Amino acid sequence: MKPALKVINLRVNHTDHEIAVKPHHTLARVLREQLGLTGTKIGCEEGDCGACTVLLDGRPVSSCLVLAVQAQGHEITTIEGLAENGQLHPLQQAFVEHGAIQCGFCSPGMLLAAKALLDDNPHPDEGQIRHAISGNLCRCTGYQKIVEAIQDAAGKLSGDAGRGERS
Amino acid sequence: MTVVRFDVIQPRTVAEAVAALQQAGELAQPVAGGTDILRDLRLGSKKLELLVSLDRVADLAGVRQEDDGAFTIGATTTMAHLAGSTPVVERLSALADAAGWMGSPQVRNRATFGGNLCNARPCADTAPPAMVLGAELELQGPAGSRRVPAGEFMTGPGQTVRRGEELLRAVRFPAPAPHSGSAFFTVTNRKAVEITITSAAAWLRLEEAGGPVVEARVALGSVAPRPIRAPGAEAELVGKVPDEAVLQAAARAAVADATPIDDLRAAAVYRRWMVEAMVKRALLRALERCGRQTP
Repeated sequence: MKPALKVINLRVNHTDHEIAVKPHHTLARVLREQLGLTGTKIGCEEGDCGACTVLLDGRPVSSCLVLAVQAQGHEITTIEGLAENGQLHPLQQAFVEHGAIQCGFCSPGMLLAAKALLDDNPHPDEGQIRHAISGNLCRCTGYQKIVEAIQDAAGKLSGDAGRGERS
Repeated sequence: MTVVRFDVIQPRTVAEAVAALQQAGELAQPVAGGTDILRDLRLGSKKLELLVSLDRVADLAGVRQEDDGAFTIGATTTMAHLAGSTPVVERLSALADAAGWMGSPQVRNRATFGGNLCNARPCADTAPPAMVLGAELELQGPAGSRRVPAGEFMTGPGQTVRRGEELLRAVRFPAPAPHSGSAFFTVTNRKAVEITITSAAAWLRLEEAGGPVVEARVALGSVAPRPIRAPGAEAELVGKVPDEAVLQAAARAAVADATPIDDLRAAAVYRRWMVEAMVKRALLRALERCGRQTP
């Protein structure tokens, strides 16, 4: 017996999508295969690697361990939602400038984990940054360049906010 | 990976969830965060036809302190919530220690207290804290609810006294006593996304600040088929002023309470050494915290 499709409303990157999903399908799979948002990578499918990290109501989760039907009613942010008006997010720009992207497979998840950190704590120290990305594996960079990129982006983001307050 | 199909329903109330579990029988199970069960289904270590998702059930998540100081923690409260809750950090410290360490940020944002207990792994990190803090689990069945002490809930690897049609609704903790404190320590290979090799939780209640131990509870994880209490360690503490030598003797006594096995993660002999180390650390930290718990 095949379970019936479920019609759900998924709100991804501020856009609502009404779609019919299989009940056993994960959010990661639906994002990639039904919404074409292939920036979300599927690595281990066990919650160990962090490649499939997306934000659910601003908090990082492994989208391979979230059922698509459970994501209904939540605000989902994928890597496609970071750039605005053709401008890379300061975190993305910093990753490019610091060489924090090598093969790129971990980058979407790493960037979203970093964004959740900076949204919550604009001035993290190195330990807090390493803690925030502790659920994201990178096999290329050795993490140092990623940590530096996040520190740089944090400085630029909070610098901008500071200027805004003074003006 | 093999394709594993199952249906999912999302009831709105505890009663609806219990009715669905009762109707579906053995091939159904509740799911909250899904961080264990979705992995188990995909790997084929569990076979189910129906998941009863608890994400829509009202009032199952949250930390509530009653007028008498007792705590009720909803079964679907996440690890991140526990670790970030000031009353849990201050009053149920061992639980906050365990919840704040487990998995990764991504896992802690989804994994729930109830799921960790019901999944019933011998290494379940919230179980030793629940046991030393005197927790009781509230199970809701079709005919009513019952309470089970945390130490009697798990019966073996993956096994609990929860009947298939019952839902773990909440975990209740008695009001923390004056001059009491608790802590949890674990040893793993890495600092994150790891499974406990050996863990220990300790809870101490002193007669007064600097005074002798009136009551002590020590529990161990990952060194027996289920999380266990360490009565040998507890007996070494009661009635004594907890100085370095007393804590060391208790930690050493805990080793005899453990029955670890060799497995992928560590050898039994290493686990025995770690019992002593983790119990010592947990006792020292618990003792420190007794000082800050005033009436």
